[in-house]
Amino acid sequence: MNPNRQLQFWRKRYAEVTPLLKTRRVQAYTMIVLSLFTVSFFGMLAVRPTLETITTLQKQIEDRTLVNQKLEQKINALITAQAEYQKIASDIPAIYNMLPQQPNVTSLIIKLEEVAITQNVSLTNLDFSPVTVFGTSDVAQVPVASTAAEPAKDILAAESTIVLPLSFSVTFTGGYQELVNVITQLTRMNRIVTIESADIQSADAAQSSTLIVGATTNAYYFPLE
Amino acid sequence: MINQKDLLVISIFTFITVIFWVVSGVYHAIVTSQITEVQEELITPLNPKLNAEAIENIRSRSNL
Repeated sequence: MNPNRQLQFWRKRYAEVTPLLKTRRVQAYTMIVLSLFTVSFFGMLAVRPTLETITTLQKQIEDRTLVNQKLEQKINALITAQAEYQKIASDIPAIYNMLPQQPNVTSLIIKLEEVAITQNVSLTNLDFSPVTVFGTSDVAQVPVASTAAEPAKDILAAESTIVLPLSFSVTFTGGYQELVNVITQLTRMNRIVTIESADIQSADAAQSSTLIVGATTNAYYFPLE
Repeated sequence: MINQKDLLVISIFTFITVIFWVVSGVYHAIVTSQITEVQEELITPLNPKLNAEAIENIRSRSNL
């Protein structure tokens, strides 16, 4: 298009638009629209990132203050725990005996024999469920105690504990009182043993004083690694 | 041809959208925790009290 004609075209358009722009209605509309677009533009590119940064930093301060407080509390708790541990330091071997890191089947058998000898009864049968004596194990490999053993259930229910049961059944033969003592002593040994079930029967119809007690029991171990 | 009213409507909706965007961004920043997983693990409370009854029970058990 010819530059002169172009100039004339735009002058004509300007002449048409200029009176329109002088009306109050158009001025108001233009001002509102431009204001809204301006606010939107700066809101999008300047206000939003700034507010987000401010809020994120404030949140960081809050969270780090919280973490700091919690860590202070934990440090104090650890100091208290250290003091408590010192108090029971002499009992640590007994605790490890009670809940060893390994199944320690041999020492358990020796303890059971000692119980039998002490109470003058015969240990006639001892049957252990499969147990991993070397390497790692898990609950699936070692049968978990049945629901009858409430203490064991409580221990096993705890989220962070990995106490593993070591199931075994044991049979003693002897007099009534001796067998009662054996059962009592089983639950008082220096290793945790829970009795799930126990049945008592006569060894021989003719010799009624001799009884047989069969007990399904669980010992426990607690691998720390 | 876009008239003045259309422009006004577009500008209003743009404005509202931007406002929502700003508010949602701020809300997201408020809600999102700045605590890392490692910190979460570190601040897990620790109960330092030992079960005195259990310790006494262990002490009272036989040597078998």
